[in-house]
Amino acid sequence: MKCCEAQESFGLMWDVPSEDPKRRMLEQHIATCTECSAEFEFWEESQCLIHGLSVDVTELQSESVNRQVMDRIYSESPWLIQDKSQPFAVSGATRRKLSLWITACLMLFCISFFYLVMMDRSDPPIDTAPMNGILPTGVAGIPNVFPQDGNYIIPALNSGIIEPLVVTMGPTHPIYWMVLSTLSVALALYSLRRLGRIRR
Amino acid sequence: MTDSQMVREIKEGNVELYSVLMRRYQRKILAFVYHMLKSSNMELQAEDLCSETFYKAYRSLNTFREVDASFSTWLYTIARNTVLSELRKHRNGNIPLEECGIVPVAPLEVAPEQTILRNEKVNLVRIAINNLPEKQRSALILREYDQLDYQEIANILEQSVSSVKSLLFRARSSVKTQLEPYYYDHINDEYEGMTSR
Repeated sequence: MKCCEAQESFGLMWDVPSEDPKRRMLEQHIATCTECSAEFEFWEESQCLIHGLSVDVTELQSESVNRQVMDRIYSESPWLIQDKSQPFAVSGATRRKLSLWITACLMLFCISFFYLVMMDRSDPPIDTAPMNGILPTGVAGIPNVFPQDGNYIIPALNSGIIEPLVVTMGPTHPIYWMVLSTLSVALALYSLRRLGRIRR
Repeated sequence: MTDSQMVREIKEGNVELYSVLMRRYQRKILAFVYHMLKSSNMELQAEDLCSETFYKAYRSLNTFREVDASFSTWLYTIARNTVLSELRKHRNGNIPLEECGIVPVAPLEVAPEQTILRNEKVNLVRIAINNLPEKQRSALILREYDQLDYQEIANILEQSVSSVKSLLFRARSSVKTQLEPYYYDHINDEYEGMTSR
């Protein structure tokens, strides 16, 4: 190997594997040539000085970077924070089953609601005459005062066992059922959303 | 789990996984940023710029294409751009060590003379690296401190492998040339020490 050729290779010598034939040739040349050996010492010294600036990053420093980044992400997108304080952990299988149940109930509700609105026309509403005006006073012992339907009938005193008074509850289409079902739909939708957000 | 699988999960909303992904590279990237800034006496900002790098990477995760580069190469590229834009802001600010709050401290058993020599040496190398053109400096830092191979450096700097070789050769040669006066002084000191005995 010539001196000029060797000196051109000094700069990249450290990147070549030690078993590489080129590097071996270079090392042999340095061992025999005093001029190249002196020049190579400068290169080596320079490399040592460059490596002297090397720093080791501690685990603590790098962990602080990690925390900073995650805090920043979560502060800018708070909805990404996962609720770790939940008292029960829902497994994937349970979540799927729950979702299926909720969806099935929702479907049931939708179908029955659709049926109620669109299909159920069997019983036309019965016209009932409104009961208003002045009602005559009932007198005990005179059973034929109000023989009409819809009014109280006072049983005859000599009729034996008195039938219990049965009070029928109204209205016939209870609004609170609708309110309850609307609430349960909302709850079901909310539960589905929460289940969807839980980490897989 | 590979980097690309993790990236896919993060994109799907599993943000907590980003912390795990960061842990794979945070030390390397922090060391790289630290070395890039060290030559300009700005190493105190290393942690901030490193976290800025990871934050930018998270924000641009949708633009990451595995076919173009590996995740680490992509991260190094973002880190380099972040550092360079910060250095551009402080282009003329060659802050002395005392001003940036760093005073190199030698171990107690080291003599004051040696401490001064050591600090002088550190400063000389720092200045020599800082005087390099930006690409040579990046290539040198990536090779010497981050131990990346030519191909990875080429991807980060968007250069060919042969260009990286050339950049490294010129960078090392330039540092050596700048440090030569120090070697001669060193040799002279040693020679004077020997003759005075």
